[in-house]
Amino acid sequence: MLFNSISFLIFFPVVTLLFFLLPHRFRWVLLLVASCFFYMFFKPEYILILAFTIVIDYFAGIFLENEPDKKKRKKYLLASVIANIGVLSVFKYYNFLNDNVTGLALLFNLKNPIPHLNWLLPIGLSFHTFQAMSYTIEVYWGNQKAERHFGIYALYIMFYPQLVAGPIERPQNMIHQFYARQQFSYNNAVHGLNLMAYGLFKKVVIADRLSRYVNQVYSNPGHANSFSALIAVCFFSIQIYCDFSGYSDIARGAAKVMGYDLMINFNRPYLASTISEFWSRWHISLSTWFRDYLYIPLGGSRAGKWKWYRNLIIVFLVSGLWHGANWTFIIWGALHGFYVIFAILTSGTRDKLAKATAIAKWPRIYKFINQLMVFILVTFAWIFFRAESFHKAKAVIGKLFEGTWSHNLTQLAAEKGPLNLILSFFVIGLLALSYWLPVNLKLKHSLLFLIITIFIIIILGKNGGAEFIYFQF
Amino acid sequence: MRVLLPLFFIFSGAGFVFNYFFEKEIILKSPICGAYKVNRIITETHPQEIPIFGSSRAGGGFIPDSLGSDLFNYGLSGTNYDVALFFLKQECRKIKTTPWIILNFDLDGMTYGRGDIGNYILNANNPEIEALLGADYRGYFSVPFIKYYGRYENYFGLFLSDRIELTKITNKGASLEKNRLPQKEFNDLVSERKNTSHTFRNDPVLEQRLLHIMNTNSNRQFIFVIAPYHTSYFQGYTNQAPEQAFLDTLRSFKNAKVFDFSKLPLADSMFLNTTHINYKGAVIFNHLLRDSLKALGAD
Repeated sequence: MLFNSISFLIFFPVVTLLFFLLPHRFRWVLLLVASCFFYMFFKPEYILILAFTIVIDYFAGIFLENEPDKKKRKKYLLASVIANIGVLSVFKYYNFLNDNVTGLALLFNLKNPIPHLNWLLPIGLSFHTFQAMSYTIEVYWGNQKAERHFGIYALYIMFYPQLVAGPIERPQNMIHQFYARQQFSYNNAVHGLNLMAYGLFKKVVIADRLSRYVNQVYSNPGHANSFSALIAVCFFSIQIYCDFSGYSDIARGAAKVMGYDLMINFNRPYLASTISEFWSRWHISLSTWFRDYLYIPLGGSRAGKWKWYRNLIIVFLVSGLWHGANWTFIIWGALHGFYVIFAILTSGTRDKLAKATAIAKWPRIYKFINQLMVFILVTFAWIFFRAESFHKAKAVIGKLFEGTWSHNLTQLAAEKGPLNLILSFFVIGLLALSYWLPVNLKLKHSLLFLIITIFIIIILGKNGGAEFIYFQF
Repeated sequence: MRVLLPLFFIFSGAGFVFNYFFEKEIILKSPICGAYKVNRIITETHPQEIPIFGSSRAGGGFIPDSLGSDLFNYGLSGTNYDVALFFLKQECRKIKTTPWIILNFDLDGMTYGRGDIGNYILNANNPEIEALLGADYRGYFSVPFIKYYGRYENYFGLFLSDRIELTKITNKGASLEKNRLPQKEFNDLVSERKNTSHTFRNDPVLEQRLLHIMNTNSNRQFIFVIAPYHTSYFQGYTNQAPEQAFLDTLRSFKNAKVFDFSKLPLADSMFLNTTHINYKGAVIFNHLLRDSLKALGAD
């Protein structure tokens, strides 16, 4: 079920109403059933995959807690990780690896006998797999007690607001909340609805509008000129931010109305002045996951210079691969790894340069230049993220540097009409205006904000129930 | 409740007022907008008006003021003959001082195509519109303000198009493309068209419905016009015989005339694509059509 669909408009109030009408002891049942229903709306049979990993990790958690022998504990953890990664590999990476084997075999005039599998990627697989893994790892480390209540554990994995596109929650933040007796609170309800409205605004007013322009240019770069290619790549940066952070806001809001707190997943990432800061603001639940479960166990920055760089590259390559089984995602990850290492290597020189040019005397300007640089670098990397293939990415980059800056209106508007282009800039302006609001969206005049936001959604929203980009991961 | 009720009333009131002004000042002041055309055919009677019905080939090919003094172009993009017949039915109910009705006829025959649903929301409470929408009818089409969710921009865009004429020239419901595609892109379309086969196919129900309307409205004169196609269109056109047979059937009616401009030789620069002419092409086509209409006395 999509958050931006009519079905959800009915589903959400019904579930919320039932939640507060039911006694506390039955609420987990309601939420679990509702979450199953929510997930099965996409492709019902894939709930079996989810059930498989839930059962494995539930027992893995208990075995890990009960087992005093370190070696055996390690084996249980390994079994759980293999089961989770195994499911992910089969559904997400099998065809990618197989296609690469086929390509390699063709180079030697050989035929790959392994068949290509025509199955769909279960929606949100990477999200709930990582959430499940964080549970067993935390139990293994002794930071979290194994959950004995199967229903509550299943709900931790399946809680519908964050099931298909995160935030990837840690057990320490979520499980205890399911035991807490949630009371209806007017403040929670209004705050939650505000978050949902703001998220929906980002999705249907901004992301879906910008997607029209972006899709047109990326599907047919040959028709674009340098101007429209530049607009499209910048628009995609904003589109993906609004699409994904919009989803996170709706998820947080839907949970908040019922009294649950999900973690903040985005913190105005394009205001970052360094790439490292960008990653502390973008998809925070995933970047902290990689930090805690991959980067630090690899040795982090304390293992010597070269190992540090190696660790960074590994983390970003895996992050790229997490997003999708395609070389374009790997390039995207590698680019970010390169940016971070380059920033480390040049930090001294950049500081000297700032002092020499006296730009550091104007901290605001200096910060703005850095923010702009980060935006340009991130936007360039997004080209690989958005393009369906390396060749398409190359074509878009080619257009950027082609030097065709003609004012042809049809090309400039990417064949979608000048009004669409004007409205695209207008809604970006609205997004910028919304940055005056507090990050947590706790407002003095919250009802007024809610009314205005719903008004804007109805007037400027794009009808059509477009999927969220991150659903495919 | 203390908060929700006032909130509900404030929202509904503001929505209702916005809805009222949007319909009155934007939709109903945009003659090229489909919703305006649907509303006009249902609610207004213009006794002297000669209507032009059809698809986007009508909307983008017939210039009312070039054809006569009191014509209006009701052509709707993305529609086919089920919608044209709906318009025809509404028209034939009216008491008019002119018998003429112009119908654009497309060479792929009479099929179904309802076009953008936004054309009908303004009049969604009309039972005939509800029937036309069928399974696509939604309950919220009756709720002011919310009913246009996701479509405000479309109406506003047409409103601006009508006034600014940035890329299109508008005239009494007609919306004619000023520009042409770059030659390379047009050539791509031509190659694609040459490699695509298309056939004439009349849906029997629609055909019977049309013939029935013509039979029962002998006081009206039906002028069928086939607007120009690019020559490449005919290379993939497989069954011209049944098309000609059907046109002959139409010609056999005393109250019908057929003007076939499908093969009118026009330069590439006069086309928007292989099935639609642009303003430049429309000027020539309408000039010739005007002569034909003049000969009939229908100008």
